[in-house]
Amino acid sequence: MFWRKTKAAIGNFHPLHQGLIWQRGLSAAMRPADWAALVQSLAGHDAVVKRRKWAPPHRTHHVLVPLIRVLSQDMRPDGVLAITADLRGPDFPEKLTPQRDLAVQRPIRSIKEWYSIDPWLRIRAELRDGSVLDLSVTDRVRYRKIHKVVRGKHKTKQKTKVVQQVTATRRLRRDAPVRQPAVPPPSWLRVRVRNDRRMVIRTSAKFPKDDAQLSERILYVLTEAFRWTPPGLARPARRTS
Amino acid sequence: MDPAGPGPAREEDQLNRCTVTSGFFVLGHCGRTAVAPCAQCGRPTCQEHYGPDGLCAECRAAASPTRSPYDEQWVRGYRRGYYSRSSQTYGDATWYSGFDEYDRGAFNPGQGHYLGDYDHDGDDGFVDS
Repeated sequence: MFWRKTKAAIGNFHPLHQGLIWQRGLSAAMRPADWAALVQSLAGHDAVVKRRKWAPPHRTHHVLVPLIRVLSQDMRPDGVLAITADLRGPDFPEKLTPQRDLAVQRPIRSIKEWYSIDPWLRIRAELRDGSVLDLSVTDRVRYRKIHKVVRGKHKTKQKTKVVQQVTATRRLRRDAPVRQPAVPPPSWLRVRVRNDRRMVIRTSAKFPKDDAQLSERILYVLTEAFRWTPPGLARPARRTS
Repeated sequence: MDPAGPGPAREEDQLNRCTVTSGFFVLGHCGRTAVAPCAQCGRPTCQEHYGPDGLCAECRAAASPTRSPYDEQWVRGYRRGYYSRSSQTYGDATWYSGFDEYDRGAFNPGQGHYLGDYDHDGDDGFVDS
């Protein structure tokens, strides 16, 4: 399809779908049915647009759409699901920390180290049992630029190491029935529980980068927050409006 | 007294409700008015979850699993597999068995948990006379 026709076809997509193509991100708070309309628009993308240049970022398929599908299941039709996704990637000046020099030994002349902190996904969902779920995913990329001189030749190489930090917080409603899980969570998962007027369960974990596995890993982190309220304990939330 | 309140509903009322399992982490049963039993599992099923093939949404998802999250049925097929995998990841057999027990509990009349996931106006159609 020629560019003029492709552009016209993209113009017919859902506005957030267009945002994912042109701005590589989205930010919206909508009801599950409205998010389903976006997913439906994304589902028809490949049939209309063939060029990869204009494809939505791959995390849309691997992470965003599965999470929208899963979280929408746990919401009332009038609940609000707020998503802010910055899928541009880590290499933007506002995400980079200043460079610093590391101590070196010959033949290495210098090592410069800097980080990119990329909080690329934030989600807030009002669940149908009255609890509120907050989720954030942050990529922390460590860059090291190494300069060394071997037999008079100057050589440089750059290394990167990516860690994905997933943090979830579930604020239960005030009178929610709670049961502490009989089995402790896995060792790679950090759990903190605060039992004030509303119980708050915060879970977090770090993973090596693997976008294909990320949506399931995010759900593993979320699972601990829901093990405290096993099926059958939950009661419907009272409507406030 | 509000008949749609959180207290236990009457058994005859629950017999006519759709018991298709809904939700992913916050599990519930649909709770809409059932129109027919599923041809395969026999659970009461509402118009929304009753397919032209006579199957409920759960049986349809199990019969033709999809791997694409763009498909509306994907979550139903994915949920059971996820509970099984996460149960192994956590080393917590009760996590899966709790889900399984709850899902199968839909076939026991009078044990439904309706979380109001359907779009009702809060009073389930009851009006003051």
